[in-house]
Amino acid sequence: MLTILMTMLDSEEERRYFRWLYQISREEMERTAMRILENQALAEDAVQNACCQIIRNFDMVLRVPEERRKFWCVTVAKNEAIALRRKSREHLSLDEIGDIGAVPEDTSGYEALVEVFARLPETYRATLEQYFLLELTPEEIAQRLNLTPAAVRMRISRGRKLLQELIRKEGLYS
Amino acid sequence: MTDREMDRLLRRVLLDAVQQDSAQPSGPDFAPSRRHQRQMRAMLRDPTRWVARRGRPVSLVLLQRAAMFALVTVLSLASVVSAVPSARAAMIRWAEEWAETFVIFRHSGDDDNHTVADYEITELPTGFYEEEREHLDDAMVMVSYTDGNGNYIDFTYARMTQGGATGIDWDESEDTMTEVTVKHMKGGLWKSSEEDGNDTLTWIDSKNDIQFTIVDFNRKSIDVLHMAESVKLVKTPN
Repeated sequence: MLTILMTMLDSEEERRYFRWLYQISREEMERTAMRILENQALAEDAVQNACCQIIRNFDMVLRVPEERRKFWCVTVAKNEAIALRRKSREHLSLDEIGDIGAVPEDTSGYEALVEVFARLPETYRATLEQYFLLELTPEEIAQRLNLTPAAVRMRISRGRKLLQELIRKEGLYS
Repeated sequence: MTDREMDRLLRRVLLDAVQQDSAQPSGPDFAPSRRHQRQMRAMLRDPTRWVARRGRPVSLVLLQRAAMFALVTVLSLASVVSAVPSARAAMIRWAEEWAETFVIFRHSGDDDNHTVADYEITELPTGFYEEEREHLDDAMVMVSYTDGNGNYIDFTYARMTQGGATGIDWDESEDTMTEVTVKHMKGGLWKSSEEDGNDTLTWIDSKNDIQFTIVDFNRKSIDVLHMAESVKLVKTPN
């Protein structure tokens, strides 16, 4: 295990970069974990788990455009917090089961597109983040979110379809 | 737009949606414990090593904390549990579950809602003193001892009540486990073979329904078993 880890942050330059990235992301990671968990000890666990993931997957960090790396780190913390919270629940609440819904009528431009995704039900958004940003498999996501792999694949498919519909509606990127 | 371009756009949209979340109202303030601050300092000092060593004390927190929620991180480990030599019996309030890299002591029994008493290690290595004592809830206390030079010994104890658990991470290739007794009470000692590893000793006081755990990050001068033998009750709850 240690041998594998050593390849993740194997130069002083990468370690320095990680430290800088942590410093600029720390506050937002902590705030996000606390907002989701509302419990100090669990939020600390979520932040520490997230840091582990960031270190272990540092090659993934470097593939993210530089100006968005901070928010990739926040995404990791957010999803660690969601995973911790969901593991403590036996049942999903109804608002989390809710469908993705129809494409809203009042979208306009890229910002509105972002807004639509920001408002997605939690499990939809977490599924998309874990698949597209954290590069987890549907099986891994299913385990973390207490869903079936089929439900995860359905959410990924619907997320793509939603984006397609929004782009078509807005005439973006044609 | 190709599927690949579509996925790239979706990644960008998702990251920008996370950025937009920062405008949301905050939850309670994040007030980091000393333990967390210590972990973060160790991480910044040497991230790779921190990842390799992290887990033991954190897991203790996580699993016991889960008692406040319905149930528990350990359920996610069910798929990797290779053997479950249940120690549960009529008079026993815990069950051991052994996973590949994890040992979990799951607690059971009625919660009588009394606050757990104060215990302390009376024979510490020279120069060590109690730095922090944190009552996480009525059932669990975490005590940190330090020598002021970045060396720590963590002492945790928890009343065994339904839904609670204590977990110990271990690596078969690096750690050895030995059954021990502490003042005639059954326990287990996990010793790391790594030079900078730590020793973890846990034992169960069945008479008082308390599980004690010492994580020794220092491993100098006084054996962890000797420290365990010196644990004394210093204050009973009101």
